[in-house]
Amino acid sequence: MNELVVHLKKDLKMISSDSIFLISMLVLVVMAFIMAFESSWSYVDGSFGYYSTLTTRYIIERKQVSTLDEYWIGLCNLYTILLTMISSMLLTSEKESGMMSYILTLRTHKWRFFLSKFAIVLGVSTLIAVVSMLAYLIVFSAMDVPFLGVNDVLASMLLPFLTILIFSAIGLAVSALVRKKGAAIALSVVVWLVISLGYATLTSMGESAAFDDPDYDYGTDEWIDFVPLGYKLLIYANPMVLVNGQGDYLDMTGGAILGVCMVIAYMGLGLALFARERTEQGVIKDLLKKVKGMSHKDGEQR
Amino acid sequence: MSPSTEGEILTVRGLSKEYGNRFTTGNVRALDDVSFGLKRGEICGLVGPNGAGKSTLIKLILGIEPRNGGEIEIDEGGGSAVIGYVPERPTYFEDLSAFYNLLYVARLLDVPDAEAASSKMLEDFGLKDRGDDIVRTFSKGMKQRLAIARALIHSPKLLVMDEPFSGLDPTVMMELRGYLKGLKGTGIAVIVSSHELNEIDQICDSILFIKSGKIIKKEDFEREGGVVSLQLTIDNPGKAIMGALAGHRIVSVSPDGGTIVIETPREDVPSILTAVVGAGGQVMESKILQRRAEDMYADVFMKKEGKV
Repeated sequence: MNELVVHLKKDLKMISSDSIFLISMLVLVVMAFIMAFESSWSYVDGSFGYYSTLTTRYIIERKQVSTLDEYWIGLCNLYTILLTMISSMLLTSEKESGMMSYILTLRTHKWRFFLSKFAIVLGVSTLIAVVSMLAYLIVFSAMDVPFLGVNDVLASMLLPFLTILIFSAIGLAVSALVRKKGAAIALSVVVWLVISLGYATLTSMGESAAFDDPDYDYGTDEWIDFVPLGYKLLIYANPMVLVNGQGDYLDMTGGAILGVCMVIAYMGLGLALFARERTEQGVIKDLLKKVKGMSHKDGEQR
Repeated sequence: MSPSTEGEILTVRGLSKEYGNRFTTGNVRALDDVSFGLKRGEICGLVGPNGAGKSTLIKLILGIEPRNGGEIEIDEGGGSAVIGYVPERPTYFEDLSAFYNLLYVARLLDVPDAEAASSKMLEDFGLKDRGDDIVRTFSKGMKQRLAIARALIHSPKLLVMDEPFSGLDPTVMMELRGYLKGLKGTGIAVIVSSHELNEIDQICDSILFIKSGKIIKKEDFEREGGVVSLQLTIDNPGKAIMGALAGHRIVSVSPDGGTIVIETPREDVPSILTAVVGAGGQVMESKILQRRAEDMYADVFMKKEGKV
């Protein structure tokens, strides 16, 4: 049997017998339905004040697109932190138990071992995106309103799915860094906070800089064109831009390309970090030991 | 790469390992010019004080740590297909069944008909009835048996065991001893790192002594040519008895002549007993004296330090 398939079967068996994972998935599903109901209430409430009192099919569709976008933004803000945390436990659970050390004595290919974990991450992300979409469709189908076409619905799912996948890959990279589950969860939360708050700060500062630009004309110019390049680059490097930056910073095609590049980049980062797996200590502890050794050497020389 | 010495499954030459690098101080030389060989079917005990380098040597043989110098040659290509490993603290997928834990390793190592091999291993190690139970519910002894089963599932030529007796109660120790004795004659070479000298006595053919990263000596329990020390306790010592023993190498005789130690090839023991009895000797006890691991350990580590 192919080594990758052996690892994958084992990983599937492990997560299906892990009660914490199953409960987490259930929580995510429940959250999807809650957010769907929340979105349906917003839709019915008619809180999109910029629409006119005249109702046309176009307006209904625009309203549904807005509702769908708000639904995904709300969900992704919750999903990204949860999935980063869950993914960060994928490698650390085996490191903590000592099984990873044993498996590596069997001269398995590290990249296949890691790829199996990534396949799990990909599967879980896909499942969550599909379930979330189904939750929305189920709730809105009960409302008996004209609905968007299948293509529009599926297209709305693409960037949120990539965002979820990117954060799962980030969680997996965190998992390759540390040895303990607790440390992995804590680090994944910190990383999420840095990314999330960083995005909010950068966009706010970028927009302020654009509006403060003396050449910007509020009536005729698009403010996005006046956001300084430095801010734009940092914003595009932040995974949150895929969901939160749609329309302003990204279109669908650009977002998809950027998303796929980010997935590959973070997967590569995780693989590179995991490739260093040689002892039972994580990379951070290894680095700290080296730094301590260097400072001790400096102290001696003085 | 095949070992250069005939009949050896493992040859280690000039092996060295240092922890640390150019950026750190206090680098530790864990192994220094280690060389030894292990024959097919030989069970060798690896003995040394704490920090001697036993675990490092094992990690280098397994290939999970890089070496700084020297060579390790394992017959038939090396790699996990040839080596089985029982770690000091065996770990498992605790929430998966014993059967699946074996199956996973069997599949990874491309064991033909992995399911059947896993079932057979469970049966051989008395775990057939617990095969579907999760490992978390296993006792320490059962986990140790499962660890050995897992290490042997792919029929390795070399089995490496790191402190297999550590923390086991006497019952489990005796069980484990039985399994290891059962490996004699199968052709599997075994390295057993252990502080349990009594167990080393009972299962090993040789001992490898290591201290401060260096091999002190490798000593066989049985001397070359199968020469043994035969101790006879005779109720009626006399010249006739001594005459019957002429031609054999008498190592020592007690002052009253009642206890005689003879050095002789093992196959001559029956004829010696026949000769003594034929000369009228009343043999109260005959036993083959073997140097015990504790004696060897004391000679190597404690006499040198003036502790004995």
